[in-house]
Amino acid sequence: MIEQPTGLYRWLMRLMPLALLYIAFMIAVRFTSWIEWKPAADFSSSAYYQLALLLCLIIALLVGFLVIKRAPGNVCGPLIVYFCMMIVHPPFDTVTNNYLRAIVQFTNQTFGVIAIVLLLIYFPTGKAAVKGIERITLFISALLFLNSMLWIVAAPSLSDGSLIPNELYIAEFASLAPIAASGFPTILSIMLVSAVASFTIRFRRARQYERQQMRWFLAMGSYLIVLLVGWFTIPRMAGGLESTPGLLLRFAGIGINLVPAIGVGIPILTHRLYDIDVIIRRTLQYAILTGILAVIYFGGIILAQQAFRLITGQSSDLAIVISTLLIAALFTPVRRRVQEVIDRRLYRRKYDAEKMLQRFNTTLRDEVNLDELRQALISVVHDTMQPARLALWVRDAHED
Amino acid sequence: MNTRIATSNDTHSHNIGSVAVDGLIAGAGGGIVMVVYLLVAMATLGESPTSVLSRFASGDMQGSIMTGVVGHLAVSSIYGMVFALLGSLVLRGQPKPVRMFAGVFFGIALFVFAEFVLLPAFQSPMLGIPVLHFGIAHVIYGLTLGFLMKLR
Repeated sequence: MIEQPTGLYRWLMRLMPLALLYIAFMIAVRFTSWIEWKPAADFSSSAYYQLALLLCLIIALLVGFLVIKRAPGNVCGPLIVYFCMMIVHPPFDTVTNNYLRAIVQFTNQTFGVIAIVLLLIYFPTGKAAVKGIERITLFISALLFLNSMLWIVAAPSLSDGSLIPNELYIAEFASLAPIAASGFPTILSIMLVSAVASFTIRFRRARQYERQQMRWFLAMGSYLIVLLVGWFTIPRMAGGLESTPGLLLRFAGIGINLVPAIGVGIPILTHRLYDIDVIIRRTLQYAILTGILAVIYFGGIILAQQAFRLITGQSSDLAIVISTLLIAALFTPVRRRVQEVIDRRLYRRKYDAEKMLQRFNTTLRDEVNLDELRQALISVVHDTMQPARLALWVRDAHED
Repeated sequence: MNTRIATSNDTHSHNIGSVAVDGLIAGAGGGIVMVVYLLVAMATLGESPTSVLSRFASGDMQGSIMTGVVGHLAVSSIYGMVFALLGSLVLRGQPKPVRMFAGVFFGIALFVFAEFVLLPAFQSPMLGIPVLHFGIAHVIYGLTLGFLMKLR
């Protein structure tokens, strides 16, 4: 669908070559002495991490350009590309050149943040749901730019543990540093609140298809929640972030860079949306099922090993076999049970419809009066399908 | 009309797998209540919750709280499954008080086996829990198991 390009869209497209130049520059800078890579053991310096980041960048750029091509006039496309300016940054503590550090800091605090906030406001149609919130957010975005520029010249050292002096620091602005320091979180909070409010209002007003699109975005947002839970629990376990789950978590963290692209791109690009409700339901179902089977497997091994040690005096690998067979046998009944619980709690209509059909099946078996059966059938169809009109024609047995 | 849905739900109630799942859920519930009782009881004796929870881990993972708790819940669930499978043979159709009574007997049997056979064989840290509280905990486990069990 071709949207009427707004002023914002036109400006974003005009400045796009600069954004792409910036991205290319940030990639090239990795091969200069301005970046000091830590020893190979450091995760963010490892080749795997950098390759994964590059892959995320390519995917995000592709999605952004696809959205620009397929939905011209929709600001979400250019915003995805502008977000890539944040993906491409090298780790802050590897940057040795102070001007580059200032640029990275400034871009992170402005373009990256504003891109996310504006995506929340303009997704999926490219038009704001509430004009007032749009104007406030754009005005505050300008304040954010000013605040970040102020921070760059007023802070004696940019925020980083090593306290490397800031070469862009101007002593005359030093008294304004506390204002800039407190300004960023304040402005960011206001922007996020307005963006979330706009998203919520749009969701409540949205029709079926637009709601499906927004559910896609929320589903990607839930990926962030899973990551947060991981960041909270895994460092507290044995091995911490250096353990296998810790490494998996850190790699999964790279996926954050794809959340805007995939959360926005798929709903806009796909003509027919995959049924997100089915995906959410299946994800929940199999995530819970995996957790339950893992606990059973663990318990089975403990009990079986204890039994073997009691009887034979030593452990046996047969315990693993027995546990595996146990979870294989329990897979289907546990999955069915979990599905029933999820349907009952979250997808009540589907659950009720199945129960209604089950009751009707019982009626069908026991009832012989045709009039009663007719009423029961009409009632079931009405309750499950909610048609506008319903008619039932029964052919007379005596008709030719 | 989708008779497939109706047919699968009809057989659900008599499926061994469904009985096993009911037992797993009831066992997990019983395990949680048992742990709560032990935490309260040991707290009155001056032992901290983390110390109590770390007793549940044995062997190489001794002292690990998370392993101990997950292991205990897993074992409780499997014992619950065993109770459900045995109960489906003799307790089907019985009222809840009868099931709870049977659960108590099951809990006592587990307690005797654990206290006098299993734990001494592995020198488990759980031997440090006073016999009285350990026994009551198993009775509570059995009661909860019988209460939560659904034998259709």
